[in-house]
Amino acid sequence: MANPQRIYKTEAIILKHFPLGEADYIITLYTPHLGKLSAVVKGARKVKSRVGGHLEPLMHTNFLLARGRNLHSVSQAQTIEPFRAIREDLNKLSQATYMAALVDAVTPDEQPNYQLFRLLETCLGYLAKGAPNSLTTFFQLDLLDKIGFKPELYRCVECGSTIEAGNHRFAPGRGGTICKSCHPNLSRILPISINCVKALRFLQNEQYSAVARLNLQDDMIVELNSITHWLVSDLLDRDIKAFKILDQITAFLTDHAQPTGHELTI
Amino acid sequence: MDILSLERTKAYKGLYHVLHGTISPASGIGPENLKIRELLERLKQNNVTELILATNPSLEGESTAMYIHKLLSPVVNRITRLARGLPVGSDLEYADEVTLGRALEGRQEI
Repeated sequence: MANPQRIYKTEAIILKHFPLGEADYIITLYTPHLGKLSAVVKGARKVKSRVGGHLEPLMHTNFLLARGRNLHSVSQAQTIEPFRAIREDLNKLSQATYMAALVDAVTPDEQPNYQLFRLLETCLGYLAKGAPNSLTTFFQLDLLDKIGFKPELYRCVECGSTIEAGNHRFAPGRGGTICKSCHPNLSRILPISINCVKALRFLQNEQYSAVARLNLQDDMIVELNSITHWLVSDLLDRDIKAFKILDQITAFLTDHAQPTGHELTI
Repeated sequence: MDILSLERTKAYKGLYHVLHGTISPASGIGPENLKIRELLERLKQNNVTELILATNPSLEGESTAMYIHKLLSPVVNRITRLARGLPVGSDLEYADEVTLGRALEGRQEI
């Protein structure tokens, strides 16, 4: 075990929470040095809970945790950054939830990945400040890189020949581009436009500061997201429930994009 | 349970519409698993002056309230949300930033 101490301090981003019993929560945390953990929070749903407000999903919080027999338990919690701007905008919220669900899906318990933690933290920060539409794609590509599944975008995944314009398709199951002469027995080979290949390469190679200046057309975002979506689901070999619902919400937001004329009175 | 708590306040004299849950991607619950369509139908058939969204002040509750607001604002004139603030008998020292920030924004003349 990485840390044999019974009580320890750590910062963490809360990925999700589930109600447990009458007034408790089980929360899933992503920590920089201990990886993903689950912890129980006694009494968190009571109005007068001292920690309840510091434990909402997508918050960056400092914890004092106690290691129990099965689950960890939270003894103290103090918010570092609540990312309030994300909580007040349905579009940002669904993107952030998507990121958290993705981190939850690809990480095993208690396997530290410091770079992945930093990626999630910075991307939530950018999202809160108002990020361009390419952020989620950037996040997904960088996440694949950080967990050791960086997609191949320059060579054919089958024969190794350099990918040239007009001779490219995409094989998510093999994790990269494939040329038109190779026909491996794969359930799924997707067509991909040359601009989409270029956009993927750019998002993969550049730092976020360069990506932030890039505002892509909506149809390009749709193509990029379908590529990254298949990459992730073929990697995990299953569909993630959260993705379907987040797609529904995104579709709903696109339908209701025009200003409504009424403001929510709070 | 939430209705019981609201009734105990004796401050609300109106109708309820129970959603039977909140939008929660992590548990696979989306908008169509809730009674939102039914709410839309009720609002169309009745003359409603105000819709009060009384979802929990949690991430799921917030998303549900924002979703309903976006969907229904063309149908209802006035959509409001329960205020967020400090619970009676609590201690400012332990209040989280979001609650305290909201409480400050929603301050009232005394």
